[in-house]
Amino acid sequence: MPSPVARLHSRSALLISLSLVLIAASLLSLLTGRGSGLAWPEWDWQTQLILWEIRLPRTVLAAVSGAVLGLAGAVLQGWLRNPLADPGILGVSSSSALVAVVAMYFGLGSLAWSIPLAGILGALVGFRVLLMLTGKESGILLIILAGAAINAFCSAMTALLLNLAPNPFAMQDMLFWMMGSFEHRTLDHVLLVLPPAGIGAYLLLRTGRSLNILSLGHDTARSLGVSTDRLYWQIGLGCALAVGASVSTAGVIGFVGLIVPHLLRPLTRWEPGQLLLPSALGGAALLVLADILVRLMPEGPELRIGVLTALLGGPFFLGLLRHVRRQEFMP
Amino acid sequence: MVSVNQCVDQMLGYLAPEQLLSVTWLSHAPDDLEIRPVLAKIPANHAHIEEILQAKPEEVIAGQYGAPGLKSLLPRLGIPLREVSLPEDFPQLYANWRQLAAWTHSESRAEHIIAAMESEFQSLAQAIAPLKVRALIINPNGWVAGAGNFQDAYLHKLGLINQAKTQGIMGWSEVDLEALVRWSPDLIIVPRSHYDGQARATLWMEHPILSRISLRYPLLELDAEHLSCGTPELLRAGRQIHHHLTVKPDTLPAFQTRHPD
Amino acid sequence: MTLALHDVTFGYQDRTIVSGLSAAFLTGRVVAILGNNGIGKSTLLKGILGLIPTRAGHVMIDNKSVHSMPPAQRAQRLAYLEQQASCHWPMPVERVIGLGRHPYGTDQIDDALLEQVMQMTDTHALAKRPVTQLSGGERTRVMLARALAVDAPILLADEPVAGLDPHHQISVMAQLRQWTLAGRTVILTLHDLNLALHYCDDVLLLGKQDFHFGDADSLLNPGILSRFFQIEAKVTEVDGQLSLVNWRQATVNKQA
Repeated sequence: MPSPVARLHSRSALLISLSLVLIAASLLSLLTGRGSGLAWPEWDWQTQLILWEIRLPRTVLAAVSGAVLGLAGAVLQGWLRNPLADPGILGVSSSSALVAVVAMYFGLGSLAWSIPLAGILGALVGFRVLLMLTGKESGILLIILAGAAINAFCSAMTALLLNLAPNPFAMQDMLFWMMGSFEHRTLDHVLLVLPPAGIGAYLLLRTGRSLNILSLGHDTARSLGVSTDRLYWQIGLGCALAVGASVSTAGVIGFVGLIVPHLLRPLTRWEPGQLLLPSALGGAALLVLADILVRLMPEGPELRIGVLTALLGGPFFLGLLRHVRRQEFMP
Repeated sequence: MVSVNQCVDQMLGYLAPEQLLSVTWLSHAPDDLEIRPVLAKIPANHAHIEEILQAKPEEVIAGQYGAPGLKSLLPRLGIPLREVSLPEDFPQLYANWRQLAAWTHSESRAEHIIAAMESEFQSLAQAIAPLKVRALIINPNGWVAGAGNFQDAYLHKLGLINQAKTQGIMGWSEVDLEALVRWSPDLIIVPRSHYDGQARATLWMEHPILSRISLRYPLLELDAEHLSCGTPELLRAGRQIHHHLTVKPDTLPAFQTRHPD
Repeated sequence: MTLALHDVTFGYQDRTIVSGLSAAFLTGRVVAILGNNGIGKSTLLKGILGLIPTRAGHVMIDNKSVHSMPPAQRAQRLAYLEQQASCHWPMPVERVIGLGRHPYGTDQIDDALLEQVMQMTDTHALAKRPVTQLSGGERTRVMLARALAVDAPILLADEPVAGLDPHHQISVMAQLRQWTLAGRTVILTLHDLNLALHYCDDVLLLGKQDFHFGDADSLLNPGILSRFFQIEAKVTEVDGQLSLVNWRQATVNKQA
């Protein structure tokens, strides 16, 4: 038996190092400007304005979005016992974007919170549809296929609605909704996203122990007193609140929930419950770093952050798929 | 004749509305242009070849850009096509007016319009130029106009200093918020469109920082329609700018006190 | 603690699998549920646990309905070993065993109990190994240790010796017998009738139409074997222990 103290030790070492990476990344992000690059700024009124009104909201939003995406990915992977689960791949993000688009471009968005609310509703519907299509016990392939179908449909609907939107500028927003961005976000956006993201993250973080038990299978977990129905709603609501709020202000950013839990899993002794907090911290650090990279790109229209995560995540996903397939069909 | 360009619609509306068989559908959109009541009575087209053929025009007048498919089809169908170039400055704009006037035999009207614009721009510039205002027009998605661009010529014509040109921008350029903070212009002008529903392109201009970086004057919102074509509507916008700069007292945003100079 | 079934009926969708079953499993007994493939042994265990809804009747522990208990309370009373149980992630064996403590609101198992269940299942040597890298038999023993770690008064084990080598089949059965001495009940499904004769006190025989519940030694007679399993066999006493010998397919008296 490894002493619980030693285990606690390695866990807190992991959490502390991830937190340090996140803090360092956030500081770098505050020092990085579009055009000006990574530089130590002079402390004048303009710098204060830039830090407070431009870089701080951007950094906080990147951290919050990364945290909820990493966390949601870790929870979904543990719950579905499927290393390929991620809010983006499963279609939760794109359905959230679809309903947020409806609210924003068709006049329902006059109240500030109506777009996040729409994003949350959309995510909830996407989650429900996915589970209706697949059930909780289906194979990896079916879940991925169902997610791909939801994604295709929601992206097409989003494109159609942006085309039909009364505002001719709507079409230019297509890339934002499909690929995400933290550009031009304000502190108001941050304040709008934090409450639902916080509540969602709380619900998701509380699933840890049940997820550990669930790795023994559905029936065994229920025999050990896990209420699988409650878990279903806790995860559905948690993902919808957290991911929906993030998507409604930052667009769809894929693969964060796939990459981060996978990289951290060996460091958490493969316990799904131990993976949650580290994945949130890791996701936050990843998106803050990616957003720094986006701003260091050459001049011109800003690269969408989802392009970067997809460039990273695409090959990753394919590699993982190969690995999983080998496991599934050649035990 | 049929027009397939919004600005051609408006100019011909001033010069010879009776010769217009059809205008673009954009000219039917609700706005408060003084020429709109005239244009709204003329049938609209979407620059589709079928609509043009049905109108049986003697000629089609198009802008320099846009409707490329239509432009390549018209000669083959035996319908003469005339193009009006996109002006980069006021002499080019006036040349366009004179050209349209020549095509519609309304030279005297054109000269009258040109003279009226010239004289009022001069008096506006006389009032504005001494204030030495470094101004910036921020268009949707953060596009600003530098040298060699009509918006630059317009600011100059009003006696304003175009901050984008001062910063070395050529033609159109997309700037980010941080650069705008560094530029700290005296006046920010935001053309406002009136569409239903939001879009991030225009939400950009609602970023709270924009109202905090123009140091001498508060942010000024103008109707985007007034700035979009080289018609006497430009004067209406010019009067608003003049009013904004002279009648309203200089307001000092909180940050001015911390400004090094 | 006595687990009693009162006229219970279980099934899936439109298929009734176990119907009108009544039995009382007494404390300190090892009970084998026997029957052919597909007859409903696993369904019965799941029904007892409440994993599938009861069509009719009641499952009671000391006169309290199992299915109306709060999940944690039920989990503390009934431990369950799933058939072909496995763990999805490559967690170390000792952590997997610790998951058995979940009904008590913790996933930390105290060293004495961990020691005991690893001893019983001979999984000491596997403690640090990732559970997904074990052989089928090793994994079954680890999962049994996990179920034992619940330390519940009643253990429901679905084929706890399937896939085990002969040595471990015998040692696991002996350990389960030992386990009941401390006032626990073990209910398990089996296919090896000799193991049932040697290590179980009672048997519950499931047939297509009927069931028999009673003392193992008296119930496992040639007539029953022929009726429920379509085999012919001799029951003889070897060293004071009843055993089945000379198995073969029954030629007559096949159950309809």
